[in-house]
Formats: sequence, structure tokens, C-alpha cells
Amino acid sequence: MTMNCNEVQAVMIDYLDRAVGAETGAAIRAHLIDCEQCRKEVEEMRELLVTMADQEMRQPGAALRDNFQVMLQSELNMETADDLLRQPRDARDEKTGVVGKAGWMAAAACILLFGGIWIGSMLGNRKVSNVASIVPEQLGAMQKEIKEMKEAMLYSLIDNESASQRIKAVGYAEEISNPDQKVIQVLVSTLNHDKNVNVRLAALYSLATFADSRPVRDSLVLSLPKQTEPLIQVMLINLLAEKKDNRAIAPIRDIMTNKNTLPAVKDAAQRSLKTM
Amino acid sequence: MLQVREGRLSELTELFERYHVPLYNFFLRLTLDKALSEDLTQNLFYRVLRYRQSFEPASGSFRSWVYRMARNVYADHLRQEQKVPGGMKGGSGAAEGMSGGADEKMDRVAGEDVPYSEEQFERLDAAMAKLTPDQREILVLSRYQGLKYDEISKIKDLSVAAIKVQVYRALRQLRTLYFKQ
Repeated sequence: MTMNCNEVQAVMIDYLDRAVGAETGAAIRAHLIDCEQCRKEVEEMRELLVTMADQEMRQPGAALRDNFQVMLQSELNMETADDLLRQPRDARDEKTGVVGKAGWMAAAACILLFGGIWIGSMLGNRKVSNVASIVPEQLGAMQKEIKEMKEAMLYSLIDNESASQRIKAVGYAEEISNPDQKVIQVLVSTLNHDKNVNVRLAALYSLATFADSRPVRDSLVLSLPKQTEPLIQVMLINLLAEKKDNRAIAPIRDIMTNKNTLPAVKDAAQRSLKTM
Repeated sequence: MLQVREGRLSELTELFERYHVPLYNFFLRLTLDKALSEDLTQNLFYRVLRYRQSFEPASGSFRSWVYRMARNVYADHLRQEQKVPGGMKGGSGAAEGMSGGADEKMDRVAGEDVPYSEEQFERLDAAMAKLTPDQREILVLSRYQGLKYDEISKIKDLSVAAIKVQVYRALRQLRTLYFKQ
């Protein structure tokens, strides 16, 4: 087999990568003995490829990993919330045990995410003390204290520049039992205006736990037309359908007929309308 | 369910560990900007988390899928940059900026006693910066990221033969730039 310059050039990179058969390799070497131009090209190409292979990868900063972990936790929290919302109502009523477990899972996720071991133990105490009969005033005082602490954390972190800190803030809100109007307003405003989608999702996740309250649902219905992020749209639609809030029907229809809506969101909208 | 969750957690963490350094370097080679490359890597992993259900093992490897997404992240970034007045005008503009910087650096170190390989790397970076964005990208994918031709063909929706030709032409151009300096 003999090869001309064009044929050698066509397989030159494979030749240098040792990806040609023995026969082709021999033909290339035979050509290179006679052709000075191809010889020069092969030598230069080899040097180039070796230099490229020797250039090492650079390491990114450590913040990248931290941010990913926060993102991952919040994403899995959303999923857990979504799974809960998707469960049909009667199935949930029958199997309260399952819901209890799932609720704990969400709580466990929050504890992981917010790294608040101390808060975790406080939460744990609260659950236990509901069952055991501890002096009621003591319990009341402690619960009040926890609530105030969490509210303080919420307000101090919600304007933080870091998205992970704002997710933390929103997470505190979720743990407040019977939140007042101000807490709800902060969450709704975060849901509608925060520039980071993870923070907005976390706010919705927190609001979902209070969705039995009428004022909370009022805000959620109003928020629906403002949302453009597919995941938030789906979660909101599922949540309002689950709560059988008929005021959501019109905005859900609008989302369905909007040409910018993703097909997956349209499907979710259609499904939910059937149940309402 | 808890196990599923734990499973997902470690599975996704593992994906991050395996791919974040190469992908960061993919962006770094294209943008020549460390902070920006970290942001783009983060955006990319956000999309990976969000859209991971859309990954179909039947239509190619996870690696092709994730690089495909990485290209989209980079393309979106370029579009956004173009909308911002005074921002950098896309890949070639950034590359010219960098090549100037690299040249300067080379002049500075020329008289000093630097290891030969360092100087080679700087010459190579300067030559890479002078390629067109497409040429630079195909070399980053095939030579720096070590992707196979069929993986790149899936990423770029082109035939393997077409990819091979592109790689060869880009290398030839790079060789001319590298050796004439």
C-alpha cells in the first residue's frame, strides 16, 4: 500500500493518536521517508498534541462545591414536596403513617440543609413533648421562644446577598407554626420577586405547608399568573388543585392556552383541571 | 423513600465530583475567565439537577448529554453578553483580549529564566486564543476534554466524518499559529 500526501493528512491525527492499523502505519512511515513536507507537518503536529496533553486542568474554587450542595439539597426538598403534593388526597388520609414518614423526611432534609443541629433537637423535643405530658406553661414558653428565634432568623437572612442564606431564611419560616401575616408576606414576596429560582422554589415549598390557610391561598392564586419558571408553575398548579381552590381555574386555563408554556406544564395544568 | 432520597443524593454528588473539574476547564478554555467559568459551571449543574429526568440513556452517553447542555449554557451566556451594552462581544472578542494579554506576558517572560514548558504553554494559549470560536471549541472538546469523535458528533449533531475533518482543520490552523510565533 502506498499513500499520497492527501491520504496521509486525512489519517495523520489518528496516526499520532496510535489509532491506525499496522498496515496503514507502515504506509504512512514509508511516505514520510520520501516527503519532507509531510514529515515536518507530522513532527510539528506531534509536538503540538504533546504540549496540549501536558497542559493540566485547573481547579475551581471551593465555593463551587458548597453551592452545589446547597442547590442539591434544595432541589431534593422540592422533589419531596412535589411527591407529597402529587399523592391523591384519600390515599393520604388512609395512610397517615406514610405521610408522617414523608413529613419527617422533609424535616430531615431541612435539618441537613440548614445544618441546625440545635434547632433539630428543639424540633425533636417539641414533637416528643406533644405526646408526653410536660408542664404546659413550660412548653408554651419554649415554643414561643423558638418561634421568635426563627422569625428573627428569617428577617435577618432574607435580604442576604447569598442565595443559600436566603434559602436558609425561607426554611426557618416553614418551621414556624401559625405564622403571622408578616411572615407570609415575606414568603410571598420572595416567591414573586427573588432573582434566584432556587430561593423562589424554597419559598413556595414553605408556603405549601401553610396552604390550608385562606389568606395564603389568596396570595398563591394571585402569584400563579406571574410565574414563568416551569417547575414553579407545576408545583403551584398541583398545590392549588390539591386544595380544590376554584379561583385557580381561570389562571390555570390561561397558562394552558399561553403559547410560551412548556408542554409538560400544559399537561400538568390539564390534569389538574380535571380534578377541580 | 428515604433510601431513594439518600440514593439520589449520593448519585448526584458523585456526578458532580466526576464532572465538575473537566466542565469548569471546558468553560475556562472557552472564556479564559475563572470567575465566569465557575458561574457557568454552577448554572450548568443547576440545569443538570433540574432536567436530569430528560436524560435518555438510549440516545447517547451521559457525557455527551452533559456537554451538550454545557454548550447551551455557554451559548446562552454569549447571547446575554450581547444584550448588555459595553459587555464583551462573544467568544472572538474575549479571545482577542486574551491573546493580547498572553502576548504581553510572553514578552515579559522572554528574557527571564523560565522553564521551557511554561513558555510553550503560553505560546499554545496565545495560539488557541487566535482560533475562531468554533475551532477553539472543537479542540477543547476533542483534545483537552478527551471526548471521542462519536461523542462529539452527538453533541454537535454532525457526522463523525465531519467532526474528524473539523478537528484536523482546527489543528492545522493551530499549528500554523503556534509555530509562526
